[in-house]
Amino acid sequence: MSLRDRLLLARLRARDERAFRELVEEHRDRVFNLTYRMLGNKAEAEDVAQEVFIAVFKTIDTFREESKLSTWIYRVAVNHSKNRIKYLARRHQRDQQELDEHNDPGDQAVAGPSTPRRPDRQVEGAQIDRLMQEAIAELEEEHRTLVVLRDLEDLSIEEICEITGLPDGTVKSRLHRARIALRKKIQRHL
Amino acid sequence: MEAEAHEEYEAQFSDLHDGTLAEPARSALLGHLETCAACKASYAELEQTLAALTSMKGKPPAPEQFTEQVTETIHKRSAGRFFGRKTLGDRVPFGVLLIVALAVLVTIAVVLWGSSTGSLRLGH
Repeated sequence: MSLRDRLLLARLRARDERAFRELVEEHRDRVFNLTYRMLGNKAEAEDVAQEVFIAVFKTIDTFREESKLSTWIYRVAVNHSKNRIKYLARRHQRDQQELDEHNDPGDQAVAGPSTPRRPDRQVEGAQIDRLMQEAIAELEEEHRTLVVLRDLEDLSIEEICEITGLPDGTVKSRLHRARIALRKKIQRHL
Repeated sequence: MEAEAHEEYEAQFSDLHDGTLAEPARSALLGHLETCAACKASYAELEQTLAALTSMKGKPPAPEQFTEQVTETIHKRSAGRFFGRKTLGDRVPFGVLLIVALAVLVTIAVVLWGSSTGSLRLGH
């Protein structure tokens, strides 16, 4: 850990509000970006990003300084994002059950998927971003985490190992599978 | 057998992209990509996918009021426990405090000056 991080940490542990603001200012974009790419929804991402910083501040005394402060913050962000994904999936499942109980079978066609995408459609710019985001959201949770950390947040394999608790070889092989899965999902659009 | 060889090569694509594939595996893979059209196309698709991810980096930034909101949330939830209670100067703008202080001073001065008996005047 750098000297700057150590000094900041000491001030955070002393409950210094200005230190907390410095910490948020320094990491807010990357934390928000991570939660947004994990969740695919700005409102949820903002809410989770806030919870991440609150959790960081509340539990700062438990940080053991074995990794960089930023890596620890990422770990908190990944865990919060995963928890929110699980919560949203449960809520969606419950809502769906309630909807099914109240709807006639004949109504289901109305509630079906939106207009199918033309596979030959050429996409550009912002549309590519949207398609990429959709493809990321379709990845398995672990694959999504690895792609976001490595290919969007530019973290090293070593940092990803610290965040996920997985060994080096496992991170590499799963990251490769995640990239291949992502390639399959988006290739027809590019 | 040939399919297995392709799979083996494909499993090294990520390492090649990341620059972490050691020799002689790197040279062997590059040599294979020169001669195998299917693997070459497959690797190009992976590169294209990862390039598309690059364009998403750093977007979108956090909302402008993010720091204020999260600090305020901590204040509200902890009732001042974490940061310590805000001082009067933090809660009321300095300009307002200055105006109030001046008003108080002027009031005292007027009262002293207007005292009919003069008993409140300074110097008596």
